Formats: sequence, structure tokens, C-alpha cells
Amino acid sequence: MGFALSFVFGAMMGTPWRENFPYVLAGILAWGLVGTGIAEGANMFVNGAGIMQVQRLPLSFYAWLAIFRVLVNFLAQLLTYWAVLLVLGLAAIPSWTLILALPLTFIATLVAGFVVAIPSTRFRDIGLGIGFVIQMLFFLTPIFWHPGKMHGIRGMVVEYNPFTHLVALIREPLLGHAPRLTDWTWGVGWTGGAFVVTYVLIAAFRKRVIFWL
Amino acid sequence: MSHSVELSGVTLDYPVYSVRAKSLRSAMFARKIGGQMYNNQDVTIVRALSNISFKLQEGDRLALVGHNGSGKTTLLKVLAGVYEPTAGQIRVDGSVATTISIGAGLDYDATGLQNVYHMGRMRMVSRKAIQAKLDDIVECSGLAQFIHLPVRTYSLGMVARLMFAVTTAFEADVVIMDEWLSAGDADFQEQARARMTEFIDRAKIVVVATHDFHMARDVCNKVCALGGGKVGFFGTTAEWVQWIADGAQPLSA
Repeated sequence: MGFALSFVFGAMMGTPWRENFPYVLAGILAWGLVGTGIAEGANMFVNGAGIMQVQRLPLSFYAWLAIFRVLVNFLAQLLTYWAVLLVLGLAAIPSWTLILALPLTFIATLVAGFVVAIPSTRFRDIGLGIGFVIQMLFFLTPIFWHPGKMHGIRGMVVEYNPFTHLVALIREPLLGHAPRLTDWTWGVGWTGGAFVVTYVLIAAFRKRVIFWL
Repeated sequence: MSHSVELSGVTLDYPVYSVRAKSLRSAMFARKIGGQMYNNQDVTIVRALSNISFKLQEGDRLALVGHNGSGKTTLLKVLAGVYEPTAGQIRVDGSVATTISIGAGLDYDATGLQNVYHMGRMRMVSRKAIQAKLDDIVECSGLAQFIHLPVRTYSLGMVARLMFAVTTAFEADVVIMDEWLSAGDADFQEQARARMTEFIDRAKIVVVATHDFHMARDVCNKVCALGGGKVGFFGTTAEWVQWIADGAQPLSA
């Protein structure tokens, strides 16, 4: 997929292939954690229904279960990423900021997954809808195109899309430079906001989730 | 430390959602036309338990009896903390082990051994403690080298043996059971009975839902007869036997 996207869009936008390829590949990798991860999290309670109905475990158990699946996937893909880039001679030394960015985006996905999981369990069609929304966001987020090419209202869509920054938090260190300060601010703000919503949802619906299964 | 279980005025309303009520689209559509389509037929509220109060002390073995659908399993789930009561208070002092449904939480692609670890961890048992019990579990399950095969290759009986071995290996203060555990062939049954008795003896408080009159009479010291979510009778086993002799229908309220 990375090959195809960088091939087609690199040609369309006139950027050199060797420059574009690591960018797209790292972007897709990051998306697997921050974007697709949320869609997977939406079904966390439905998947855990069997255990939930016989044993009392905190709701966060199911959130961790879902997120670790995403993380393992991400780490496996990360190895492939480095292997491919090494073979092509395109590998960059990752920036140390990855050590901070990875836990932050990980937590961001954990809480965001929780936020979508509660309504998706009550109304099963939301879970389906989330998949489409995430797919739409994939195209609205600079993954296979560069944000610099967007101006005016389009530029704002990029700048005010939290996923732009979440993806950048992972991609930039992988490409060897530190993320911008705005990326960090957005990442922390998004995570904090999702935390508050999660807290409210848990307080309001913790008792009821079990009846929705 | 003394262990106890106390329920005061526990009431549980159980909402049952129809397929239509599980759809956001239907819910929104229905609001628009005045809630005609989305009424109480879509969300049925079942009062599964109403105003249940009792107290169990250390050493108590309580048998829950009653017809199918009288609220036995629901009450067990409230005790296990799976459902939180709509009204009333529940207080449980001590660690709880539940065997409400055998087979829940099994990962069919993992090996028997991995599943033993998973199930132990889900019961909040440390890795070391699981390792200490491992030989005992494998021996009891009688699976021998099959313990290294994925659980999906097991027969139903083998799964039951594994679950039985795991469940009875880790002790808990409060044991909550739906029906007496039984598994496997005649050979295993004999061995299982002894192990089960030992497991029950180690527990401080046991609550078991059962249809077996003799078991309730012989093993338990207290009986709670449920009917339609209400307590029909609560007292010692001797009183219960007398209550039935006095004309109440056995195992009902």
C-alpha cells in the first residue's frame, strides 16, 4: 500500500520518489496506531462480552486488551518499515523524541477508543459508522500528501485536524526529526480532552454497559 | 479477618434492548415522529430481583433454589459484581471466585497451558502462584501432553476438565457457582467430587445455585428460595426442609 500510494501521489505532486516513499510509509505506520486503532477500539466491549458477563473486571481491562492488539501490530510493522528502508538505503536514525511520542499517541488511542466504544456498544450502527469516519479522516490527514500544499480553508482543515498532529508525532521522529511544538500541544490537548470525556462516560454509563451486550 | 456478604434491599432492573433499539438510526428516526415507533416494546425492563436482603457469615454455604428464571443466576451475577444493583446495597468482604459459565475467557487458539496462565491472571493470581499450581492443574485435568495443544483441538470434555482444574486450583474467600461443577467421564467424576469438596472446604463463604434438592440439603447450611425475583424463603436447611414438609412446593417459592 505504501508503494502504491507513494508511486501514484508522488508522481501527481511532482515530489521525488525517494523522498516521498519513507514519508508515506511512516505515515501509514502512524495511522495504524492513531487512526485504525480507534476503529478497533470501538468493538472492545462487544469482543469482551463473554468475559464481561461472568466476571467483574474494570472496563479499562477491555480497553487495554484492544490497544495492546493495536500496539503489537504497530511494532511488527515498525520492524518491516526499518527492514524495507534499510534495504533501499533510505533509513534515517530516528529522533529520540519517539520515546515520548509513542507513549503519548498510545494513550491517546486508548482513551479515544474508550470514547467511541461506549456509544458503539449501545448503538451497534455507530461502530460501523466509525469505520467509515476513520477512512474519511485518512484522506483528510496528510499521510500520502504534504500539508504544505494546502492553503486557505484547506490549510485550516489540516491544521485543526488532531490526526494531522498525532500522525506527525510518530512520523517525524521516524524520519529523523523532532515533531513541531504545535504537534505536541495538539497531542497532549487531544489526549487530555479525551480523558475528560472518558471520565464523564465512565461515571455515567459504567453500570449500564453490561446490559447493552 | 472475617469475611461476609451482605445484601440490603437489592433490586435489579434489567433492560432488554430489541434489535431496533440497538440502532441509532431507528432511535433518531423515532424521536422525529413523536416516539411512536420507539416505545417500551423496544426496551423492555425486567425486574429480575426485587428487594433482596440477607447476610452471610464466614462458614456459610448458601443454596439458591427456585424455578428457571426465578433470578438465581442474576443474583449470582450481582454477588459477583457483574451487575450493579439498581437500588439497595451490596457489600462483599473477601476475594471472589465465580464459576458462572464454564468456557468464558478461553482463547481457543492458545494452548491449554497458555490458557491456564490467562485464566489465572484474570483471577488476579500472580504468575508465580500460577506456576506453583501448574503441576497440580495439569495432573488434575488429565490432559498430559495435550496441554501443549491449542484449545480448539480439544473435545468438550477436555475443555470442561481444564476449566474444572483451573477453577478449583485457586482458592478464594467467596465462591459463587452456578450449578455444581461436574465434568468428564466416570473416572474423572469420582476424582472431581473429592477435589470439589476440598475446594469448597477451603472457601469461607459459598453461594451455589442449584436444582439438586439432595445437594442443597447435604452440603449447604442455608437456603434461599427465589421466586419471580423475590425471596420466598430464607433460613437454615433444616427450616427449609420443614418449610417444604409444611406444604410449600420443593425448590420453589
